[in-house]
This record gives sequence, C-alpha cells and structure tokens, in this order.
Amino acid sequence: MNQARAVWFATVLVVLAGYVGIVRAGEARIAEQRAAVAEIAAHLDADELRLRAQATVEDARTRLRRRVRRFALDGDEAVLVARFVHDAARIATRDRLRVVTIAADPTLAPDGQAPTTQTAFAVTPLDVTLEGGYADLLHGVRDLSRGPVLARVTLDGLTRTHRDGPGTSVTATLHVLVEHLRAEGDDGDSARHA
Amino acid sequence: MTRIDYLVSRWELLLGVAPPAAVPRTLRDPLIALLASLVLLGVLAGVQAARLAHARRDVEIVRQRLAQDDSALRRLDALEVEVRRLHAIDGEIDRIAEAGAHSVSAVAAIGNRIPKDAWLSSIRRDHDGYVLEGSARRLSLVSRTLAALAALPATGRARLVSVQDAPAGRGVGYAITLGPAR
Repeated sequence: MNQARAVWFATVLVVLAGYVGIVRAGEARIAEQRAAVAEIAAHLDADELRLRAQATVEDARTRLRRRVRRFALDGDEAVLVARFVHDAARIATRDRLRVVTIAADPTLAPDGQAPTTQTAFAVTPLDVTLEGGYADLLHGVRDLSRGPVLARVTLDGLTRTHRDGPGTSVTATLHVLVEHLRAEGDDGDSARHA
Repeated sequence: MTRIDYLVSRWELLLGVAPPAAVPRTLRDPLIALLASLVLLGVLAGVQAARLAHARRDVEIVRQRLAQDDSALRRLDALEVEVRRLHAIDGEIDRIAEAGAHSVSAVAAIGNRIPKDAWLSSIRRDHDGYVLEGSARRLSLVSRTLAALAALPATGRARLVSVQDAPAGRGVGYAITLGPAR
C-alpha cells in the first residue's frame, strides 16, 4: 500500500515537474520569440514606411540636380571665368553696353587666395566696369548673375559719364564673385584665383 | 492455499496484454498512471519543441528582412543626405542669382526717388549704405531729394553731407549718404 502511494506521489510530482519544466518554460521561451518577432516587425513597419518615400526622395534629387545644373558649377575656375567674360560680352552687345574693364579683384591676399563663402561654393572675385545707358545698365547687371555661369553681382556704383542731355552715359562698377562648387573634401584651396 | 484467478483482467482486455505478474496488483494502477504521465509529457515536450522551433524560424525570417531593409535604408540615408546638400546648394544658388537683381533694385529705387530737375552724378556703395552725389536747379530741390530718400524703406537714414553752389549758374551740387537698411 505504501509503495502504491509512493508511485502515485511520484506520478503527481512528474506531472507537476512536467508542467513547470516543459509547458510553462516552453511557453515562456515561445513568448520571448514572439515578442522578438513583434519588436522586429514594428521596426520593419517603420522601415517600410520610410522606404516607401524613396521614390519621392529620388524624384527630389533628380529635380534638384536639374535645377542646380542650370548653372555651370563644376570645372576649372579659368574656364568658368572665361565663360563669364563671354557671357558679359554677349549681354553687353545685346544691351548696347561697353565693357570697360574686367579685372581680378585687387583686394586679393598676396598669395592669391580669394575670400571664400562659408558654403559649398568657392569664389573667384572680379571687378567689372560697364558703360552705357542707365536703363540698359540696370538690365544688363541684373542678367549678369542669371547664368549660365553663377555669379554674385553687386552694383558698387554708378557714375554719370557725360552730364545731362538725352545721350547721357553712365559708368557702372560691379563687384563680381564667380562661384563654383568646391570638390568634395575641399578645404578652400579651390577658391584660389584663376 | 494458492488462489488462482481465471478471470481476464480489465487491463488485459484494454491493452491486449497482461501486465507482468511480477507487478503487484496494488501497484498496477499508479504505475500505469505514471507511465501515461511520462508519455504525455514526452508528447508535450515534442509539441513545445516544434512550436519553439517555429517561433525561432519566424524570428530568423524577420531578421533577414530587417537586414535587407537595413541595406536599403543605408542607401536611402545616403540619398537623403545628397538631397539635403542639393537643397542647400539650390537655395544658395537662388540667393546668388538674385544678388544682381537686388543690387540693381536698390539702386533703381534710389534713382526713382530723385525729383524732377534734380540729377544724380554718381552713386556708390559705402559699406552697407550708399553715397550719392548730384546736382539740382535750386536748393529747395535738394531738400525735396533728401526728404524723398529719407522715406526709402530699403535704406537707412539719409544724411546731407554737403550742398554747394555750382559754377556758372548751374544750380547747386549736393552729396548725401544713405545708411544701411534698418
């Protein structure tokens, strides 16, 4: 009788141990895995949401590249300055202006280092003098900074060359910064004057 | 006296085999319950192992997807960095390209304020302001010029530097400075 009780007791112990060791422990491990799946799935959902915007970002890049490329921004500074001079000549012809001088900025440091903007651009400074009618000059100056070479044009002064009368001629002095994109990792050396 | 039981036991009827005679009759039920519990626990252990393996496979699958997404996200990050850079460049280009127009507009606004019978001989930038030199038929026109320039919204205070009688009865010459925009 005692043996039978012992075996019944052992049976109960086995069932309890099995419940704790197999069922409960197994459920806990499975729950951990499911929680891990849920956590990763939440990350995946967030990632998928971001990735869905990829096409929009690519479109924005294409659009911005097209906008940026409306100006000549890459390439040798000398070539860009040459293109600016060519453009100035074209505008002068169109607006009946005379290009009196185009000169390197005399305020350059002795080593030829140009002042640089704190942006992605390096600059080549020039002083430009134009002569012509008042309205034509204003029109021409406005167009000088509108490409194809990117140039920050500042009208420094206007001086009446011939006094009064209908044939009044005006001389405009401009400060021009021909701008181009720095190469990646450029620390400003590319702003050296051409 | 030996007792012989010729009746077939219920376990023999149920299982088709007679339990070993060595097992005492009183132990048969608990032993069978113990064995059944062990079998049941074995089955449960197998089921739990299969479920756990399935759950681990699920984790592995989502981790693989996450890894795939990670490389796509790195490409997207690089793309967004480039877009931000291009956006900044585009904004800077707009400011640079409009610099000429702004400069011209400021000068034109000053020129348009000069009253009739007064003229500008020169206008030049002085720091952030302007220095104007010109002439007028009468002194009162210089006063009107100064008042008109003082009302310019895009520039600062207008200050008369000098007025002098021009030679040969050509009116008066004047010099005015305009301070930087307020």
